[in-house]
Amino acid sequence: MSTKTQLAQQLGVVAGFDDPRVDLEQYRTPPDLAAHLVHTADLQGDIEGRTVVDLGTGTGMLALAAVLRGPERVVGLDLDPAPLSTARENEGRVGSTADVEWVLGDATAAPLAPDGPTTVVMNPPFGAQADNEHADRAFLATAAEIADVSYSIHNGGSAAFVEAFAADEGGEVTHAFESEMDLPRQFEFHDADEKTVTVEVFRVAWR
Amino acid sequence: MKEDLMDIICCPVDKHELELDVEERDDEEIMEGTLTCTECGEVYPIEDGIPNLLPPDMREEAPA
Repeated sequence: MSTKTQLAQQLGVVAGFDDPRVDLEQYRTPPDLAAHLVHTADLQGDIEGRTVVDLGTGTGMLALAAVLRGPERVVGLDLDPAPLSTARENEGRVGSTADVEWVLGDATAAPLAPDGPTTVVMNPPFGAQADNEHADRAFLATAAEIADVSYSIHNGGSAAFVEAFAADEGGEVTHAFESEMDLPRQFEFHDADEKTVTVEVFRVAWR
Repeated sequence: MKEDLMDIICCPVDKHELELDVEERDDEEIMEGTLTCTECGEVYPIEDGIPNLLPPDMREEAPA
């Protein structure tokens, strides 16, 4: 297994959004955070030999992190075709030996019904925009439906919400860690080019 | 897409199985074709190797 640092370096070539859509909260997941999330999942036995689904993959960061760690298969799902094209180009850049399957689809009406062991990884919209508050709830609902276990990135202060949601679905938050991330300024703020925010990653065992 | 993706994809509307029709292959990769729901009959295109499984009401809004 490569180290977490090596994984982050491999992901440095993954390009972000050419024309990010604010309504979809599109921004590139930082390579360090993607590497941390997938490395943690790998150590838990949640990547190797499993189906890994990246909900709202964007330009493919988490899907590509996962495919570098020997899963059975990886599916990257997004509803926006332009970033998916970039994701496919990114797949060539990271030089993985296995393929990612890219699927155009809505993470909240997911066209997926995996029957083997399945892990969801995702950096869903935080619902920070006024008209999509708790957009991450619908992504979690899909994870509950299709996965045994999921790793998801949320904005700081989401622990109570994620724990309550998981409990309602018969699941349980088993791991949590905090990280920091620079968000581009089109999300929430207007006085600086970017802002460092605290994010929380949760591992949920759904069944 | 590769043919073994059929194992895990389904209709986004009713979650039933899909039937694959291939129009163009490039080695193992299916480049053009259609996926048809075996229950509701909705037809989903495969374009440039990527299956478009957006729900029908969202597909219309997608830029060409």
